Amino acid sequence: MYMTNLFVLVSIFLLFVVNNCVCVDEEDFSEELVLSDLGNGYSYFGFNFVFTRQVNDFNFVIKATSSHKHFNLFPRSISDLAARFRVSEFHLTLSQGYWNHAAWGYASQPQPQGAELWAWLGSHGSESDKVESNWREFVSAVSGMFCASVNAMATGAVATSPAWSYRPEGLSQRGREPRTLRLAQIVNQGVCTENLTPWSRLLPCKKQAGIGQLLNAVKLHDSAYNSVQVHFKPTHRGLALRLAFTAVIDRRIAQLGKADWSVHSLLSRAVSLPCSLATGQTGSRLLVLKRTAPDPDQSAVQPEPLQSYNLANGLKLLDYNLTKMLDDEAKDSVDVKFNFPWTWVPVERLQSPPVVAQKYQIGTGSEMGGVVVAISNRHPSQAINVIILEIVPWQLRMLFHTLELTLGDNLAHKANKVHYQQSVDRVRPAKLELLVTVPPRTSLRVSYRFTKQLVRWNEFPPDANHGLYLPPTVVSFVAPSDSSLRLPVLPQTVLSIAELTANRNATTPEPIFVRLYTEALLVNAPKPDFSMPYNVLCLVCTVLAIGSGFMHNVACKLASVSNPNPADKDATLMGD
Amino acid sequence: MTGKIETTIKVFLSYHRFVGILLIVGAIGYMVMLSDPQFNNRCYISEKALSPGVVEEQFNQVNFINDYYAEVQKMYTVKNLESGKFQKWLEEEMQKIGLHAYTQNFTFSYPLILGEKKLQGINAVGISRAYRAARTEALVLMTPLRAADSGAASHERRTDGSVALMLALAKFFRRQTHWAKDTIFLFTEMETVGLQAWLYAHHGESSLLKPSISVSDPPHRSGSIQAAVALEFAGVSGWQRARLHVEGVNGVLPNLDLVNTVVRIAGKHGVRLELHGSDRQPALLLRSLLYQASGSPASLHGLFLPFDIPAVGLSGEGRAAASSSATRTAGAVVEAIWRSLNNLQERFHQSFFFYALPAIDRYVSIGDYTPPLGVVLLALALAAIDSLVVGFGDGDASTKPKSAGGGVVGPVARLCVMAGCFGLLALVAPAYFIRTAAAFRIDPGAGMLIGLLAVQAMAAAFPLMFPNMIVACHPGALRLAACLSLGLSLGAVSLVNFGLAFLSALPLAPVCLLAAGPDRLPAVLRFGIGTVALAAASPIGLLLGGCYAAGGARSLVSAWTCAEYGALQGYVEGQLLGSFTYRLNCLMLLPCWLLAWCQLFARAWPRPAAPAAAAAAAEETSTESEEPAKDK
Repeated sequence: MYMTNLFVLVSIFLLFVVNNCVCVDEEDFSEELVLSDLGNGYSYFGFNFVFTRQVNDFNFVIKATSSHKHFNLFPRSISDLAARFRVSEFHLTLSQGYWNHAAWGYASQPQPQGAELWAWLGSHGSESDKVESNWREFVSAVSGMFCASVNAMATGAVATSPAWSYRPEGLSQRGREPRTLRLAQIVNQGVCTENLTPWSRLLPCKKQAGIGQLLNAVKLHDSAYNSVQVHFKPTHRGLALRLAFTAVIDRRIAQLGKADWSVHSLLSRAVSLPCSLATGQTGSRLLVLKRTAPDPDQSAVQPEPLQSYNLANGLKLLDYNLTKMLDDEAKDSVDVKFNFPWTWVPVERLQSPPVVAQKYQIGTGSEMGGVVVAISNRHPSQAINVIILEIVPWQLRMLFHTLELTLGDNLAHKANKVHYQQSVDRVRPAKLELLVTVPPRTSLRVSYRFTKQLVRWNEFPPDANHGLYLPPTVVSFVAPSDSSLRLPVLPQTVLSIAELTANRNATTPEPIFVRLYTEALLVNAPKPDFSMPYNVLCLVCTVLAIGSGFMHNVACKLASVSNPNPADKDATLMGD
Repeated sequence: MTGKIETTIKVFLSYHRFVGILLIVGAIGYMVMLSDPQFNNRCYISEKALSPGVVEEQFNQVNFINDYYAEVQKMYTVKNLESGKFQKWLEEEMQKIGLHAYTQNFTFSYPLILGEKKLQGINAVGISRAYRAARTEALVLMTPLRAADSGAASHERRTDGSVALMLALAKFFRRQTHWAKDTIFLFTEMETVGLQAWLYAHHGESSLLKPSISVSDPPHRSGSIQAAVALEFAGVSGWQRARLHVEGVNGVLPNLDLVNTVVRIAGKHGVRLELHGSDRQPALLLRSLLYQASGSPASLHGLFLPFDIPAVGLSGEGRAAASSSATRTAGAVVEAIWRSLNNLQERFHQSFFFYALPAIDRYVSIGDYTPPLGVVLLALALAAIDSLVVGFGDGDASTKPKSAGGGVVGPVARLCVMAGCFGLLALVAPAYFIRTAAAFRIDPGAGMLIGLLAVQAMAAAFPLMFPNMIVACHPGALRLAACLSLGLSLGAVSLVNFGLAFLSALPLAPVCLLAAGPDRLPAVLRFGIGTVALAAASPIGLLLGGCYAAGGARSLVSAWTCAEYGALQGYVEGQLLGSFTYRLNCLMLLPCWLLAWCQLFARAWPRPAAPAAAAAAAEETSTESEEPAKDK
């Protein structure tokens, strides 16, 4: 009797545990493609594939437990990666081209040219001393996973941790658990289909159904800007992973200036099958963002959307539910066409966003160089606080005393706060963060000089004569909530349509946090002539040095015992 | 044994003048020989990434060029250029094409020549962003803006053809997807001034140009400039052949790979390309060296070179019937050059930076052309060694000059300093000459040349004014100083501007050697020949003589005008472009010449018998030269 009871109890307990394991981790997946006309012939494509996984045990992120091994939709490799290296949040982007924020407005997730990886690593208790090794191994793993050669990020000479510019995007589990930030950028990292392929394998419908069908690598990589992104972060319910692909296609090049365009005309693909796994809150959608104010987007969009919402900042969202459209209307495929009246507006005439940043190199010669970061606040009345992050590789030694901030025409300005870390050769880059207030209608000019170092012969990168890259400056600020400004900030993901519709009639748009990247610079670094004569000279000089050094010693030095006193330990055998 | 060697050396050195002249003649022969195809090499492409001419050019839009040409013809007038209307039009056209275009204002003031007048100029610039790249690298295609005046004389100098070609290419490039580097289409006004203004502003160093040029900051920028090509074509196809310009400011040359790429592509398209307007072998090499020696850029491309940007210039020469196939070729050639440059992974570094071109597709490497100069320097070195070996003692052949008593270094050093002062005077004085000339309403060039002649005459008269300074010098020590300073100066200059060093060595080295003169000639004859030869070899003498020869030895007046222009250009370019030919002429060649000149007088005047009799020497200031000095 007793045994039976016990058996029942144990079975109930087991049942509970098993149940718990299988049913608790709810996953869902939704996908969307955001289309927009950026003006002047540029079309924007924003693919978003969002995975969420509900986790009861928040500790999961930090500690992988055996009970969480069942995955339906959420890519297990990503989750394992995070668990193994104690990464609570990471953002990997591989981009090609320059996001021209002055003409296109602010991107939802602007990315610098090349590769950028930033991650928050758990540094709780015993893990704190493992941060470095975790980061190193994490970088290698990411590198392998997405076929990107970003291993150099693992070294401290590239990675750094800015104090203010980057904040966690996801919720921190257990409140104030300590986390450490690592940020690394590699400017000359190329992006191509070999990065897109492993990335698209993480999608549940691959490229076979849903908007994944539109991922035509040939067309998407042939663009003014494209970026493969992986954003992993914890949420209040569990984990969220967003795989994003952004492309900006120039219709002057892609369709030789023809103004009318459609998804099919630019990507040569159309959605013919719904992704049945996209069962999330918003399913599978195609969204069109149109500007309605102050300079309205003139294009007429066909077909008529199922729903449309007026958003803040003079934006209108047209919503095409692909699942519904493909099911209801028994169509072969869905395409969205933009009939566009022929008006090219020169870049110079477009109303520009409130803060525009530009970075350029000054100076000539191979000894010294300089950098100017020009940030202009074009807001008519509001001063804007900006955080400027400047990372300078150790090969270019930044001269802090030459740092100058000027407003407008040579009016000296002061930063509200300065955080500066000098570079250490071969160990870490220099890091400068400035918190500056830029008055309205004013241009701030931050400039500094650097010396170009002649590094050791084995420290030159391949193609040494190409030059060294100075990573882009990161400018972060909160854009003022002023709808009179052209602010085509595309929502990161419109999956929170519920939220959007809730305040669709909102008259005062929310201030938006913007992080923008300037151009990267190619610096012509000094280098020896790596040619055959150079090698011969080096060799000959070495041989001569060995030979003549020996001869010199024999000829000019005298062997003598200088101090026979035993108390003096510095008795030298060889001396002049 | 040692005595025998010593004697042999002494005997050899006693012939040093003869050997030296032989060496110099040999150097000239060697240089002439180098221009023969047997002794130089065919150019080859060192940077494999360039692969010139491998791509199939797609440019076929003759209508682009013709349409723009028709519009340029209408717009491109002196009036529109001066008012900036033409530049505004260029900016708008480029914006329509989809470039980031802007106009840039600059003002140029040069009180020395322009007086109070300030010249206003406007550059037009368009940046074609590489489609798939991130603004890190750029190439520059430029043309100067020169309005089409009526009158046939200015026909060759018009640039309407290159303006139309560049606009057409901008439109064509903008639609192509394979660019990895931005292209900056640059239209500059006022020749070097406009380009200089843009270059300094682009590099953020416009404050260095002050006070002569002030320029506005460009609103759009691109990354590091990898190469530049300057075009100057009158008419889109109405020219017979194209001329390639390579020499930049101070005779800096672009990487040979760039030159070679252009030559190969032109060859592929059957475009006749010439260098310095000559095909004959030794003349072409001489012209290459002359262009280099002048320190003045062969075309506007030369201004890029000091910024470490390899650049070449192309201009149209002669007149031919326009044809649409020739128009297409013009576009295709530039496209092909651009496609080649676009392939560059690294900056130009593989091929030669130091070379001489005996023909457009052949080169002489630095290893081959420096020996002639080395041989000339060897002749000077032999003279210097001889004076050391003979020694500075009076009458005795002591080989230890230091022990022979003081008073050897001092007077020579004083003389050297004085010679330097004359150089400094020639460097500083032109500003005063020109101002004074302006007061007398004399042309700045004429004023400057007359002034320089005066300085030269003063330098020549120096031994007569201060004979005791010459007399105090030991002739051997003076010879040593003259030969050494000339040799060292030439050696140093050869590292930066070989043409200048070699071409100034040819007249200066022999006169420096012979100023101390062979003893067999009668003193008066020696002195007479020496004076004439040295006067001809003086910097001013060379300038006048060179101008006379360049003008075909026809008219003295045109030679004078040419010299005026040459002197003024050298001086102004030294100030505005950073060319140092004028400075080197003043600070190195003039003092060296003066030392050689003094040598002539030191030989002619006897030295007091005892070195201690310095006081006696002071009294002998009025001594006339009457007897030949004793050598031993």
